[in-house]
Amino acid sequence: MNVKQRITSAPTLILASLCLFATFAVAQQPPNAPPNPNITVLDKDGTARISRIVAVPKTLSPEAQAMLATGKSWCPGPRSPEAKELIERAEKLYPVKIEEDKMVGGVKTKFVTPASGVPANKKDRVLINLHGGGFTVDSGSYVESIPIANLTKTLVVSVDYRMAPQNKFPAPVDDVIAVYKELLKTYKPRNIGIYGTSAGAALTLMAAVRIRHDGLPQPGALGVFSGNGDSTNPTDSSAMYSTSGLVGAKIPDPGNTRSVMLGDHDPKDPLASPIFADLKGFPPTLCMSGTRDTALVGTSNFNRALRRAGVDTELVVFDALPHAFWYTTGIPESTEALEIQAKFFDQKLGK
Amino acid sequence: MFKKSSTIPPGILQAESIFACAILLSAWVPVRLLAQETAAQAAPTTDTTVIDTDGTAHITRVLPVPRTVSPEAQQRLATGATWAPGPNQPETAQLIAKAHELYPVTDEASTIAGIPVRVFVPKSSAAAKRDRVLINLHGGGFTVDASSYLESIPIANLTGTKVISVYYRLSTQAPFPAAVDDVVAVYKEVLKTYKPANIAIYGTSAGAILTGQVAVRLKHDGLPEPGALGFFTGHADFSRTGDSQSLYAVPGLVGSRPPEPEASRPLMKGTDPKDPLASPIYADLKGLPPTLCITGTRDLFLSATSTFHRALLRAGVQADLVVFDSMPHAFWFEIGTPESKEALEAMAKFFDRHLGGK
Repeated sequence: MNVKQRITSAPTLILASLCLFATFAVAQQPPNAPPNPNITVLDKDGTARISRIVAVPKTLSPEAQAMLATGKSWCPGPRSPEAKELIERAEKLYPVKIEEDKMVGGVKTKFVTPASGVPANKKDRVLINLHGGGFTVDSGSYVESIPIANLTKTLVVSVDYRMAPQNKFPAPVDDVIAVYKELLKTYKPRNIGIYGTSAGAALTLMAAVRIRHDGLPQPGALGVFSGNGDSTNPTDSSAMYSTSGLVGAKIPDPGNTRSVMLGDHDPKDPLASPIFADLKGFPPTLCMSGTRDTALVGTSNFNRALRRAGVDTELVVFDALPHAFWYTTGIPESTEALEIQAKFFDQKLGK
Repeated sequence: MFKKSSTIPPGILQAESIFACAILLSAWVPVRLLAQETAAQAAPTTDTTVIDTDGTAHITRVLPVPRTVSPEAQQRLATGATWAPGPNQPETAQLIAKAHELYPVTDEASTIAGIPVRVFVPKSSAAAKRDRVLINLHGGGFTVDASSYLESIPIANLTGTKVISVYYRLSTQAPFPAAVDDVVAVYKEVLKTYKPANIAIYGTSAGAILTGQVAVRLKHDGLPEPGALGFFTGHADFSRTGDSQSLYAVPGLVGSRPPEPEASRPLMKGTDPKDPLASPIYADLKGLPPTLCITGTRDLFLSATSTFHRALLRAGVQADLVVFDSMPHAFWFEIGTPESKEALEAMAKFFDRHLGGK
């Protein structure tokens, strides 16, 4: 603080201070002074050691600012009271009918449909949801399916795929493919969308690459929300953010987390790291993230890979919001995110 | 604690601009090495987070150079040097020479509607492209021309289309809306020769900010919108800043910049920072042309660029966003790096696709 005051009260430091402030200022501090807010030191190998003070930006809605100020997770773990509350909130905001334990292609799923019923012009469409939860738990099957079923007025089939550590790659992909093949008996491929958040986004990409690999017809649209198509390297955003943004302990990189699921499988296998696959001819793909998302780089890098391959792809990034923030429904930014997701499927399916 | 302080005298942190930092960057590297030794003891060694009751996060982080970027980008990030050196720097001259080498064009000074411009002409241009033109608005914090050559040369070459780079009045000469007036004057003159659907306007940094302002002004004045816009690392809001300005400076992680609004820049003297003509985020954006937005995850305008992109989407505008892994402000100025090449090609492809009223 006193450092900042020193900078700001000395007009003669002019613009140079803007560039040089951090390291200089800290060097001038007595040893017992509070930590400088803007330290940056680069190691010889370029590793940056930084400290920063990051206020809740006023660019957000008041609701999002208030939520960030609580420091709470926007995507709490399964079976927690917070997660239960979020499911209830989603059901209230986006009324749906939920049918549990529906078997599709031998795989357990749940069917989520709008409470008002599926209108006639949407009956030939279906969305497959692959929930988040680090491939080890189900964190999102309800909160990812409920709003989208309601907003798209379309049946959402949320897949209870086999998870790690008991079931490793490619078991979850096999399950998604089994569901997809079964749905292909009823629905045209271009009327099927596949989407997911976090691990579900990664699985969406793995399934899409596998569909091509197996010579199956491609779905009409994909949704990659806070995802990563690269299991090989940690990213800059996973070094900066936890799954709760700036708050909380960081878990290993989404790519590394996947090693629980990948086991000894080669992470460079395009079936496991879709960013290494030939992506030409991929279906239209919506990518979504936030600037405090640990998967910001994973998501935006996959969007770039799709662009390079000439795929119809869109990226939307929300300022200051963390991983899977749309799990917390009812916040204006979440509403906006979910409406963009729904609109994308509405536009791209059936084309 | 540590709120945005009213004790900050105007003219320092809110002063001329972030971009002035870039001007000083050739001095930065040696000084950094010196500072690095003295600050090494205070350098964070672990990741920590403390959250105030108002949500302000005090963080320390250790961030390796990511292996997910090209080897060339890894090398550059490891030096901490800027990717957007200021005008009159030896490195800038080298970058311009490299741009000429990689993206051959000819260029000459001219004036349009009394405004000085430089016209960049591709060495070869398909007949089908001769009825198109691109208008570039250079970066430089509204105080200098940091980049008219670096922004125009590659795009003229890659699109096979003439680029007119406008030397609009700087804030040292006249505040808002002088720069907008100048661009609109050029645009009106260009409209006498080119169909609006065949014109694109684009810029980096201050040039992106100006591009947004011009688009809103054209709508306000009842002039036809151009066929496409390029909003490359900009902001559209002089009243608030997003998260990334707390985290990143012009060179990326090296240094930082307090999240001050830019309302008291000399540029904005006498202007309401929420005036939609100055801060397009407050404007009705319906009817704006297809717009490409580009930024990087270590860009101080990551938040602002992606926020403007969302505003365009909400207004039903066909807007695209591309975000580059770990790249800082205006990284495409570092001509020849794979990331710069990809960004420039994305820009050129976008203009090619959208010009001509397709």
